[in-house]
Formats: sequence, structure tokens, C-alpha cells
Amino acid sequence: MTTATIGLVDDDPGIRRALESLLRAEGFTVRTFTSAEDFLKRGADEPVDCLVLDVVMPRHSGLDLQEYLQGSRARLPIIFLTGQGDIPMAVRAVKAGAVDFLTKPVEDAQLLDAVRRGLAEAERQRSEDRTLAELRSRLDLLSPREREVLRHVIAGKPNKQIAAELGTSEQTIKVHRMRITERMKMPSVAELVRTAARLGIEPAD
Amino acid sequence: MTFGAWARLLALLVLLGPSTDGEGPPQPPPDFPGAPARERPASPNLAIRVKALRFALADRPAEFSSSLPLARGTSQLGPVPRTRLSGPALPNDSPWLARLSRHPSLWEPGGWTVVGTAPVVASLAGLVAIILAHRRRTRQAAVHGRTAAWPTWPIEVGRPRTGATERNRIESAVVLEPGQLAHLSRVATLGVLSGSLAHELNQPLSIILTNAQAAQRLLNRNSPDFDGVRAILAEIVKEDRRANELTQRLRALLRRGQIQLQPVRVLDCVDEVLRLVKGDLARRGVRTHCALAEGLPAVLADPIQLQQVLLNLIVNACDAMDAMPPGGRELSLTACVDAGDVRVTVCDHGVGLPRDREAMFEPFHSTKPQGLGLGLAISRMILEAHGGRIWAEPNPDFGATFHLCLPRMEDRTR
Repeated sequence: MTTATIGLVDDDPGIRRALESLLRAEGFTVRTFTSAEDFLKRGADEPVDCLVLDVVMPRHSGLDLQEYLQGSRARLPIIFLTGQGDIPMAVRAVKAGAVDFLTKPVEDAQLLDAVRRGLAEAERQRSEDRTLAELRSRLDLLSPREREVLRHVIAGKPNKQIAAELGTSEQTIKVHRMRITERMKMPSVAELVRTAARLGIEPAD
Repeated sequence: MTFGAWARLLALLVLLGPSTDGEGPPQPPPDFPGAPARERPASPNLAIRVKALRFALADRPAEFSSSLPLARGTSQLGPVPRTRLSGPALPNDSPWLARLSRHPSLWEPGGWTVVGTAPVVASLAGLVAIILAHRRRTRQAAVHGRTAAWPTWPIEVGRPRTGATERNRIESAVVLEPGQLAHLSRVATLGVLSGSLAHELNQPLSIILTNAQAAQRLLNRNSPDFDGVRAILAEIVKEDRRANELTQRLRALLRRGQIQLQPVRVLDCVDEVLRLVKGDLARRGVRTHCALAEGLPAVLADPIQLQQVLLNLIVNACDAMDAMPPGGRELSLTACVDAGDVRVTVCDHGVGLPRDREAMFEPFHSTKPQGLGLGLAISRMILEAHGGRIWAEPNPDFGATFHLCLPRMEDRTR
């Protein structure tokens, strides 16, 4: 069984060791980093599933790191843990997508709950990403003409109208539709409409 | 004597009592027919006297009783002693009148009463005096019992204090000594740092909590991890000591103790202060650079006061850099030997110095809205008391550098 890897970023070695003990006791794999820079340097080689981040650190704060990571690794769940946090800090962190903003001393249950929520959310996001990637690859199989027909189909038009608008016969449109449902692996129009929406395909006018 | 006789005696006593209306103009008595109609006598005393006289004379010889409606027979009664009773004329040779017409002596009004009550009053006064003396002795004994163990207690118990010495004592309490001022300023500086200090104390407490809870989880497993728990307990001990060190450090700075000159390593002082302000520096985004020469000679100083000066300079430097962009907040500390003295510099990249650099060291001169204006003045006072100097110079680019010079210990002892 593979366990989730938690990254700890805190400048205080005592805090790092304590949190490491707690998370290891719960069966997580832990990687510790002494600063935001340290995480950016080594983080790529030692990937983590979730980040427990101190806010106030020398040089770059945890909030700076969060902002930086938003561009490259937006899916990484971040839990802030701070000894001197205030409301503006918490608002900024949560608005930028933090799972939670906890203050030291933290109750173990609270921290572990946040970590598990973060991991679950990340997992849900990952499966969503996988599904979307799969759908996109199917969409890529369609020819440009079939994509055009698809936009008309999801607009709810009958074959006859599509044929008239595209200047072709109703029979040709029927063949295109068959191909589309085959390649997208979606037998019903309803499912096709929903998938198109997820992939951001606009229906034709 | 019968009751009536006693009552008459009492009435006479009232009659002979000191008069308050004797000097007034003659007034006609109130109830005498024939007298010109006047208002009631101004003094109720007079009315009482008249009634008392009537009562006293009630069973006197006939000349009196018949002449009681006195006003009717003024012609036969001759001249009237008008000092006391105006209007009615009374016989001149009456012993009663003789008594009525003169002032009573001090003795007369209550002579026997005084003789009778004096021993009672005296014995009561004696009793009260004995009780008060006993109370005072008991209280003094109690105070002495509490304070006997304090050999240096400044107030001598039981010695009466005169007004003048009391005033001196209050005056000397109001005028602060330099040591007290330095202490107050130290407390104020630590007050400014209180937020960061609370965080510094919170950190080990938080580590201890997390460690303890981790240990609980390790022990609750199906196969308890005793090695893990052992390591965690060691961590807990370490963090507890860290919290204790901080409270000791704070206690030393907050204590109002005697100044104790002793050999001090400047590096230790700098280190102590940096440990205290570490959290504050991090919170303000100040980066610290230290260039402290190894093997500096010791200085003879009071370590707490030296720390106070450094603390003050570092907090000032941070305040001066608050207005700067976060990237540029840099604090440099150096320590070296300079012309035989030990010199410490605190260099900031802040807003710089005011035009009058000497005025900064005057008491109550502050550029901060909530500043007391005592920090630098007290720093100079401390440095001068140690035979050293403190001064400020602007940096070539921006910011300011404060210099401290302390004579090395060999020079002081020689």
C-alpha cells in the first residue's frame, strides 16, 4: 500500500520534528524542508501530496510560496500552520485555495483532519483531471467536420436542420453522428451534451 | 427632702445658670398685664427663667406670693434690679434676689455634680487609656514578628516618624533613581516586544503538545513504538528547557536588581539579545547579518544593562526599517576591538537620522508616535556609567549606524 507523502515547511527544527513524529505515527511519509527556498530547490525531486506550511519564515513567507505554487502546481493541497497569524493572512491564504489555516499550538486531530481532507480533495481533483484528459483524447479523434456536426448536435438540432445549415444531405449527417458517438463512446445525446460542457465546447447557433 | 423640694432646687439651678440675655436692653416680661404689648421675648432662656422663678417662689412668704402678679404693685416694691428681670419690682433685701442679681461663679452651676462625676470620668479615661496602650503594644508585636527576619528593612518599626521625615521619604520615592529609570525603560522595550515574545514562548509549548499527542498515538497502536516514544520524550524535555531559558532571560531583564559589574563577553550579550528578538525580526522581515570577531576581550559591565542597550538599538533599527520595502530590511551587527576598546555597531537600512544627532540622546526626545523618548537617553547614561561611549552616524548610502564603545576589562582594572 502506498502512503501519502506530506511535505513540512517550517524554519523551526523542533516544530519539524514534532509534526514529523505525529504524521509518521499516523502512517504518512514525511519530507521536511527548512524554508520556502529549500522546498522549491528539492521539491521537484521529492514530490509531495500535501504541504503543511508555516506562514512566518525568514526571507520568503509561506504565503509567498503558495502564490508561487499556484502557477506551477495548483493541485497541491496546502495547510497553513502558524503561531502568529492574523485574519488578513488567513483570508489571503484561503482565497488562494488553502485547505485550512490553523494556529499553533494545534490539536493533532485538527491537523490530521485537515491533511486528510486535503489529500481527499487532491485525489478527487486528480481523478477529475484524469477523466477530462481521457475525454479530451477522445475528442481529438474527431475530424474537424465531425466536431462541427457535434456543435450542432449538442445544440439540440434535428439531422434535417443540421444538413440544411451545413449544406449537405441528411444521410451524411447521420453517418457523422454515428462516428461521433462511436469515437466519444457516448451512446446518448444527453451524455454527449454534458461531456461537451465539461470540455468547454460551445453549441452552434 | 420631698420630691417638690428637689424640683424647686432644680428650678433654682436653672435660674442661676449662665445668662445669655443679660446684656440686652430691658425687656418687659411677657405675660404681665399692663406692660406695653410687645412681642414674645427673643430668648426662650428668659421665659424659662421667669417660670422657674415663679415656681421657686410659689411657697415663699406672703409678700412674694401676693406680689406675684408683680406688675400691679410696682410703687411699693421700689427700684427694680433690671439686669435680669425687667418690669416687675422685687424687694431689694431679699436673699433670693441677691442671688438672682449676680453672676454665678464657675463652681456654682454644677459643683456637686462635678464632684460626684469626676472620679467616674477619671476611671473611665484610665480604662480607655489602658485599652489603647494594650492595642498598640499588640500591633507593634505583630509587625515586629513579621519584619524581624528582614535585617535591611528600611523603616524602623515602632520609631515615631515626624512629619518632616515622612515628607522626605515620599519625595525620595517620587524622584526616580537612574537605576529605576533604566528598569522602567527596559520594561517598556520588552512591552513593545511582547507579541513576539509570546510567540517565542508559544513555539516550544506547541512543539510539546504535538510531541505528546504523537507519543499517545504511538502508544495506542497495536504494537506500541517505544523507541519512537523515547525519542519524542527527549524532544519534549529539550523544548521544555527552551521555554524555561526564555522565561529566565525575560525574568533577568524584568527584574529590578542591583547593578552588578562583572566580566562580560560582548558576544554572549549579542547572542542573548538576538535570541530574544529573533521572532520579532522574522515577523518584520528583517534579515540579520552578524560579523562578530572571535576572541574579543571581556568588558566589565552589568550584563543586563548591556543587553538593554543592544535591545534598544535593535528595536530602534527595526522601527526605522518598517517604512522600507521588505526586501531591503537588513540589520548588521559587528563587534571588534578598536583602539583598545571593544566596539559594537548596529547598522540598519532604515529612514536615517534626524538632523540634530545629539538631540536624539536627550530624554523625552522621540520620533516615534508611541515612543517614550527615553531609550537612547538611558542607553547613553548606561554607557557613560560603564566608562564607555555611544554615538550615531549616518550611513554613506542610507540608514544609520550606532556605535558603542566599552573599555576592555584590563584597562578598567588597571
